Amino acid sequence: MTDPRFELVGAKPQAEAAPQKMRRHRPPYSTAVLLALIVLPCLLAEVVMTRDPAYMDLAHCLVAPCREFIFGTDSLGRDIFSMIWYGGRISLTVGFLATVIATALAMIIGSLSALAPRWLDALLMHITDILLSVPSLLLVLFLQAFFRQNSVFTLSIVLGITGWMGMSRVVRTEVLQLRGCEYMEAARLMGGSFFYLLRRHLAPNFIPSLMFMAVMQFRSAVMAEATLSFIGLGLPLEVVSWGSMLSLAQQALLTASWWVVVIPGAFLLVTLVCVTNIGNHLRKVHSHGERNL
Amino acid sequence: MSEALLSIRDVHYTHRLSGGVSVPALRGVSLELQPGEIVGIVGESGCGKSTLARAVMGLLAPQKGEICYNGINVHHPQNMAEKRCLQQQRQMIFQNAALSLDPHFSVEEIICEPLRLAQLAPQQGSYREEAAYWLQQVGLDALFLSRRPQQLSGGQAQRVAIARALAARPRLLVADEPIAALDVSLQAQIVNLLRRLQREQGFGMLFIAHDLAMVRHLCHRVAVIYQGRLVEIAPTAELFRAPRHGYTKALLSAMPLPDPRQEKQRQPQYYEQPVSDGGVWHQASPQHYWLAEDGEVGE
Amino acid sequence: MNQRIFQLIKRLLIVIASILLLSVIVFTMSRLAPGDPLIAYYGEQAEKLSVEEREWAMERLGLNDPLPQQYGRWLKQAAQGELGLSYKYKQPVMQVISARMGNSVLLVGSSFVLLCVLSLLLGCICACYEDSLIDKLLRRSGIVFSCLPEFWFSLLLILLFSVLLPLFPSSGAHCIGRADSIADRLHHLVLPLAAVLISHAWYYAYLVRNKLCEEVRAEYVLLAKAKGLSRLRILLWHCLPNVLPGYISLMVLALPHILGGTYVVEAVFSYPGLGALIYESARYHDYNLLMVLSLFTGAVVIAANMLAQALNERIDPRTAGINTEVSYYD
Repeated sequence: MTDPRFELVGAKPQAEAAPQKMRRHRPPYSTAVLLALIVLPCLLAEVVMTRDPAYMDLAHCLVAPCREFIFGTDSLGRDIFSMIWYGGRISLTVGFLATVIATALAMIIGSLSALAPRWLDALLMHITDILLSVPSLLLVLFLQAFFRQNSVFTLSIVLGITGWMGMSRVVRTEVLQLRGCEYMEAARLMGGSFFYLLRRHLAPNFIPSLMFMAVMQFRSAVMAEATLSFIGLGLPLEVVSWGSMLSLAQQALLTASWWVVVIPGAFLLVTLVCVTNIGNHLRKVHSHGERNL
Repeated sequence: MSEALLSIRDVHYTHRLSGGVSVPALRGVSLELQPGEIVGIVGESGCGKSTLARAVMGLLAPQKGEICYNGINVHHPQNMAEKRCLQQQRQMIFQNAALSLDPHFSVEEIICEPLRLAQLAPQQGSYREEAAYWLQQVGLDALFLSRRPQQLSGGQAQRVAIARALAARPRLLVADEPIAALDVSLQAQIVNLLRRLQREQGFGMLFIAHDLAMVRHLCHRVAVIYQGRLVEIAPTAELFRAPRHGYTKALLSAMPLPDPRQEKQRQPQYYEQPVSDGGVWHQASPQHYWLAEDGEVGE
Repeated sequence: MNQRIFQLIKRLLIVIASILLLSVIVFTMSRLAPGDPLIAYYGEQAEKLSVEEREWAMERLGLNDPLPQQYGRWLKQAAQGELGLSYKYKQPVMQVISARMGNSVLLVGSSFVLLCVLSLLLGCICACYEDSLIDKLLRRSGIVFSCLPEFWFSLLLILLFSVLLPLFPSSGAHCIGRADSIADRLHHLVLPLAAVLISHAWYYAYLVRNKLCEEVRAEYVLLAKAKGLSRLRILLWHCLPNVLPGYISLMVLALPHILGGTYVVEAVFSYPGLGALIYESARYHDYNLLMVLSLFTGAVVIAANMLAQALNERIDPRTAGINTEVSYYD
């Protein structure tokens, strides 16, 4: 069998075919740049900040934006410019952690539901439907009752636990399609456990279609953090975040100090719009590009 | 006689479809497979061959009867050790190799997956060397290691699937129509490959096919299934020389002959009688059994 | 006919089962939450009770029983209309809720109806004049407004129209002593209603537009055009009925979001409705109240879901038995 003529056909791989050019949507560069302009200073808050964001300079309460305080100060005399970056980091952290938790839950519950016997599937999906039918803020309020004092972590957990429902339905539909694949059966025969199958075989297949949902989940988590903190059920006043900064806004209305209201909200809005744009882009890429990315 | 590697005893299985429809797939199949033996299972489409393979692998639980591998009931392993033993020593090759390989895995990962799952140390030093060794065993170059399943042709994918099945060093290989999706020249290659590997490694194999020529070439014994019942089982040469059951005769008569003059005179027979649940087993020769209907006169 | 009745009964059973399941979830959560349940019954006196008295009270109220038993008792009482006391208001929960129900129904109802009309109208206009200026404007603003947190938008409205330009009142449902004046109520309703409408309408109009634009590509539109029908007529007579089932499902799916949004807006405007009450009860750990309010909201949405499905079947018989699923982020 050393004679090369007797070598099996196809024993050696052919030269790699040139990767096909796919028509791609133009990535939203301007959005990405804008988002980076907000996110990077937040991550490097210590460098950007001009003052200690927690320091209450009672001599300078409610100062309108000026040279010394670029974005003014709030009713406790804290420098809004520094708080924006410092608080942004916390807001984004909450959003990120909540998204991670929600995505993990959605992946577990969705694929469990798809792989489970029919009655368990029906039960899980019914519960999901019911939870979807309650305004998510109500669920959050209920869970909030478990924690007397909120921290970044407890809030992320609460937002994560209440945010998995929509995604888990997507995961379930995807897994139902993958379930019949023979490589799933092969792996199960070789002794792969549920979590092994999920991690190695299922997740890589459905993550592309989950990306858009995860980005949207991030958006709603950041929004929910702000709403809850504003109402006084989220992060306390001393934990600086965009939401807790806005919890002073209602007072500020009485004195018509617009900067306390407008500036943190504007940052929130711009971030959310950027995130939405990127999410929409991901969805378009996903629906037009090849499925096996 | 040494203890059988696989024993299937009176297995019944009925597919329950939605809407209360039930389709009987296996109606009392019994079979034994000795270590190192290749048993071919033949029959027409829908006769229950694949159901049998899936039942042997534990993917389906028969309503009646039991299947034991090495004395372990495959549907109710007693403990973790038995379960592990089943998972490692019993491997399967699927009909459509391309579907049985995860598109996100590289060939190396695919081949090493059973080893990693069974926590077996690679015998060739590293996982990569082990994968390369098995690729070489199935006649592929080590350059394939980093390829993905989409980049493989059908025959290459089936070779990789075989390499994966053998990497765990199984004692029983269940091949569910491994050649049905391939074209003829590749079928011969794969069958030759399986034969060579079986001689070298000495595993037992349940080879399911509907191509009689390939079965004749590969198997030691052949079992014929018709309408969910085993109707005849015999050593390959004997079965092809002197078939007894009407269905077997019809099946063999459908086989094209290599000589064109003989082929011209070949008269295909048809066998369409339903097979009842009764019937008596007759022994034609020491290892040749066939099922006769009640009215039929044996011999 | 028989089958119709069977379907109806089945659907009703599903609604009841769903609400029961919801109540189980809510009940378990409220009982597992930390806090002294006795306070919910006796108020602050509970803290002054001796150990024996506490023990006796727990026993009498059945708080030592296993959870399923407690749930059964609660269900029995609920069926008789007794939903417990509100800790904060020291009144039966039903009384607290019914006092505020009217205000909420007014706000939620009017905003939901207006939202449906407005989004359909805007969507049709944009689909009719695709890629025109108004269409582009709507597409852009649809994204921005869907990102706008309701509470912040409400604050902006208050800042602009109450503080800087004192046109509308910033809180309450009516001026003190003028509860009967319809004009005064409407005057108070303007800002909350605007907040809910503007932060939602654009987005749903955008979705309607997308659906219609897809529909306009269909072959039958070409046929209708060949017959010489006008653009508007084709759009309204032919395309709109086809997207209507999807639209109804969408609005029902949006109901929890709109409800949640309205609740937030109520809280910002201190509008005496259920939403403001919910946040209050959460802040004071008033579980009985919170539980009933959540249950009530959930039941409304579940009932609306079923109603929408029935309505869809009337409009489009093809959807009978099929759950018309519409992605919220479509």
